[in-house]
Amino acid sequence: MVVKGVLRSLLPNPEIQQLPYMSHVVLERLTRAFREGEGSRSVLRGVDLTIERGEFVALLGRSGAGKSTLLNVISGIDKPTSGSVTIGGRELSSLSENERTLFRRRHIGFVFQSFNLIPTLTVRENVLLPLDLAEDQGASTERRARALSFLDQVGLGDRGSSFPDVLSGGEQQRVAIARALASEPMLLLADEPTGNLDYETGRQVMDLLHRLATESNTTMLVVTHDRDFLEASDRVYEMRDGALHRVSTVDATTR
Amino acid sequence: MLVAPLLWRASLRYLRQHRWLLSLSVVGVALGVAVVVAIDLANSSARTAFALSSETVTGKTTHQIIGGGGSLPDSVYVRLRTTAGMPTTAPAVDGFAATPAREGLTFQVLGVDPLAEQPFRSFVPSGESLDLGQFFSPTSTGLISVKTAEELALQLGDRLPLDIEGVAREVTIGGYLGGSETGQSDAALANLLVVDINTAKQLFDMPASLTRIDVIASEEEVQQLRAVLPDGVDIVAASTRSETLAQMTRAFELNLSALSLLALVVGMFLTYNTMNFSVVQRRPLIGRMRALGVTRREVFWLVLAEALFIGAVGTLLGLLLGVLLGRGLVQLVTRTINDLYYVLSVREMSVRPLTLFKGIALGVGATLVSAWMPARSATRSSPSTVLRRSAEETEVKAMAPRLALVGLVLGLGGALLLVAPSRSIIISYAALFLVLIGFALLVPVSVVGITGILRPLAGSVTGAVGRMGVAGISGSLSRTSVAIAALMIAVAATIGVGVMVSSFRTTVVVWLNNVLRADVYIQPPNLVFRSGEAELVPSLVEAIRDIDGVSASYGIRHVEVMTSVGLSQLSATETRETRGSMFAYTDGDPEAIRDAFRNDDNTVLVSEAYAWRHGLTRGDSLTIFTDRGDVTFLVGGVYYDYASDQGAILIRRLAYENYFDDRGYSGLALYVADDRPIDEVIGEVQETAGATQQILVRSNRELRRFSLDVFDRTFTITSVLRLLAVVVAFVGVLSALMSLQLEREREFRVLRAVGLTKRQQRRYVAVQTGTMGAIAGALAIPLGLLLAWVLIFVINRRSFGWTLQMDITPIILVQAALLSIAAALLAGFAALLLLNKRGEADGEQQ
Repeated sequence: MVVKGVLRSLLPNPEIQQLPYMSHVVLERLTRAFREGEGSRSVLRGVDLTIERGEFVALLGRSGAGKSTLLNVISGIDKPTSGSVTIGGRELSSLSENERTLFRRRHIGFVFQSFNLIPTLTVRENVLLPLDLAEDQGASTERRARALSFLDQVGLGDRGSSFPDVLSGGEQQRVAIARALASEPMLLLADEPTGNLDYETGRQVMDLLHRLATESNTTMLVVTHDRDFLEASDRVYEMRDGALHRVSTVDATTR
Repeated sequence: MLVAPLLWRASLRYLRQHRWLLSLSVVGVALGVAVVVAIDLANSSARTAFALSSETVTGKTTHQIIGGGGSLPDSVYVRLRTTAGMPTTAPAVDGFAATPAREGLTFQVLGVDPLAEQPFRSFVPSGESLDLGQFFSPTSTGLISVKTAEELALQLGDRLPLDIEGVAREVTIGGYLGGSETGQSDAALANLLVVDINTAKQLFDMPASLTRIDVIASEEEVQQLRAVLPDGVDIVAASTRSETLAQMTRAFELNLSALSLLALVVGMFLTYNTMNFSVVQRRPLIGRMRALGVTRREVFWLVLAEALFIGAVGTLLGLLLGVLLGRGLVQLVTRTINDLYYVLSVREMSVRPLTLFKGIALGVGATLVSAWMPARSATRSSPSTVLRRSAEETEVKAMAPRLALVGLVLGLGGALLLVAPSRSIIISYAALFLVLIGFALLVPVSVVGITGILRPLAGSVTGAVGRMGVAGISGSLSRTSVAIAALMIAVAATIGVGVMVSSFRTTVVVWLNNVLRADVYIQPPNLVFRSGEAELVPSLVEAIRDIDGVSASYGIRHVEVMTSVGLSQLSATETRETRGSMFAYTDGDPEAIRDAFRNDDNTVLVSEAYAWRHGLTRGDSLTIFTDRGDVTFLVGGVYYDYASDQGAILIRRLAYENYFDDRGYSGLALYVADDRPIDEVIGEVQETAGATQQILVRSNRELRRFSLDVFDRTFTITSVLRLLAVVVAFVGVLSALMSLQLEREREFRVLRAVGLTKRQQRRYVAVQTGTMGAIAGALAIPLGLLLAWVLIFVINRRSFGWTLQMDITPIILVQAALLSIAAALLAGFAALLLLNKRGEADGEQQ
């Protein structure tokens, strides 16, 4: 059964190709509660959201509002207490932990606030890591070349053999973006990608992320408080009291 | 593929960045493997040398005809040769001879009849011309291997001096053994001296008898032969003797192997610690990998692959080191075998593939086993909630009582196995390891308890720095408890083995006081100290007894005989009233036992080891193959005796002379009249012996000292192994403290920045590591005593059947506690030194 599950999550999902009209990301009545002492604390309280293919959705909210929890649940890192997460036609909450991991590896790209590069791998190796994990390195030289082309596109083509600790914060985040896009994911999740960067660098990184995702028609959900980013997004939601609230104008968010 | 190549590359780079820890871990595995391999090599080299020499001497012989008292009359052979239809036979006289030409070189002398020899053995290439006339000549002529001749710088016609049981003899080199045609290797022939049978008879002073008759016969022919053999002569399979001898050393070898495994177990703690450290340190990184889609299984295999790498490098080094160490240990093992069991000369070390395979399996296996838990723990690194170190320590603290419970269960399981009615040494050691592991699992809970008590105490004595130092021990419990456990086990092993050896020694001293009551002891030099079968020249015995001032004497004869339970040592003793209370018996009324022994020809006594080995008790019967045929004796009593782990049968001299034709003496004990100084009598005995026979004459005190010297010598190898376990433990503590300090590097820098002086930093390390050493030492004392108890009352009993008195010398316990503290302090400061150096190097780079 496990083997079957693993294979299922590794193979391209025919439904993804066959149901172009279906929303790309569907969250239905999503809840997530954590045990705290004797009781429990609800972080997500019935989140509903649909995102279409290639759409760029921004998410904001106060610290502790549940934004990271939502990203964890969407990416399959965490499992919802109830409700469902469907990505590209695949219902994630029915998958085992291992199947969710394999799905994430294949179909989801992640950009973190603290970059999360592997310090003992070079820049090039960090970018190739998702393909390597999926054991695609022998399968497609073309894909590897394409993955590495992201490194050129983030302007670090000449830093491939450097280790992350000699790069600046902005450079590290650009490598992280190249890595997130290298496996040509269906969905790119970013958790405050500019949070650790100065304004100018943050803006450059944000532009890059937006441009590359749009060019590759990658669906994107970004947790951010960056005004420019919010303006560039197709839709903006605010996480409040464990639920998503659509924000009509960027001004409304900066009250 | 279990691990993606890039992940593996990342791991290797991580290990390279922590090369000190990596090296210590590799050294730990290497030392553990080296000790196991070295002991195995030493044991197997001894075994191979023994098998080789047995095979060479046995040749194609299928059976041997032997006499009851170790020899048989020539007439038996003559009768067989003149009876029609008998299978092929060849006479043989053999024994051992030392040579003054080189100390420590012993020849196995084999006397053969060249005319009957051809079907049995081919020592000389057929094409070579051996001058048979010279070989048969009255001048003693012998053949030795070319290699040995070269080593001794001897050429054809040269004389080879020999020392046989103290009598000087010599042979002329008449030819060389070996050559490719004979199929005999140099190693097999290296210690062989082949002479004509008559020469052998002269050398061993047995004019009308043979040691044995070699036979090549089918089972049917054997039955035919048996029918024509006279009483007191039997036919046995050719392998009987070598099997019995090989059996002798089995328990000795097994105990050495078990001790060598101890070093490996301590090494396992080391690997566990390294892997655990690498996992804890990389938890956030592993969390990142998990977020990127690395599965739990991949994380598990990644950690295991790292351990495998450490295990493989450590094992490889261990094999090389083991071979080197083996060269030293083979000498120690051979010396012990020669002291205790039989004559053995190991000229070369045989490195068997099986030994190397065992080393690889143990090294890699032990590393994987010790990495299993850290690997499992790594898979629990959650991608969303990255565990902090403090959270993990809290988890370990919470787990401590559960671990203690598991430890208690394991310990109880081990204890039950120890008291279970079994004679298996392997089960005993397995039980002992369970107890050790069980005790190790009690360490975390003990550390929490002890540091809780010590913390305020350290604070009041050494201030805040001291309090921090002690608090740091329970604060990093996952790391410190492993280091303390490894040190505790090594120190406990030191105590256990130390108390066992000292108890054994005390028991032997008490026993020697009881049995050595005469004033002077005389014996010919024996090649095997404990066997004492060499014979005094008969004329000397009477001459010595007649010396003025000898008020009484008794003689003893040691021979090897065949019994219903196999080859055994028989000691025939002249009973004197003065010897009445010499022995203590395991059970029964001593007076009644003594009376039966003195008055009944068919009553023998057996030693405790002999009774244990063959499952005999007082009242059982034992059949001995004598010169009068099979005779059944009653076991009148079982006496305490520590002379040999093979044990012996004691028979009254008069009874011996009734059943055996031998009238020889292997030793003589003299009581000196009060008015005659003992030294004068000794001088006179030596004068009497003169050139007739070189004999060993020792006063009571000298013999005791000599016996204890041999005792100490046989335990040298045990001490070497004990020391090696401590070395491995030291590496373990160093590695644990290094990882601990590495983790604290940042904390130290902050503390230094806010004003912690270098002196205070040293005090911090001293308090912390000193306390760790003291805790390990304190816990090691009860465990060590338990270990000693098991070694003395279970393993020693099951291995050798001896009853020993447990003797706890306080100095051993004090030494062990000091050793523990010193090792921990030394490791702590070595770690600090390395870190400071690293810090300076970093500073320069920046």
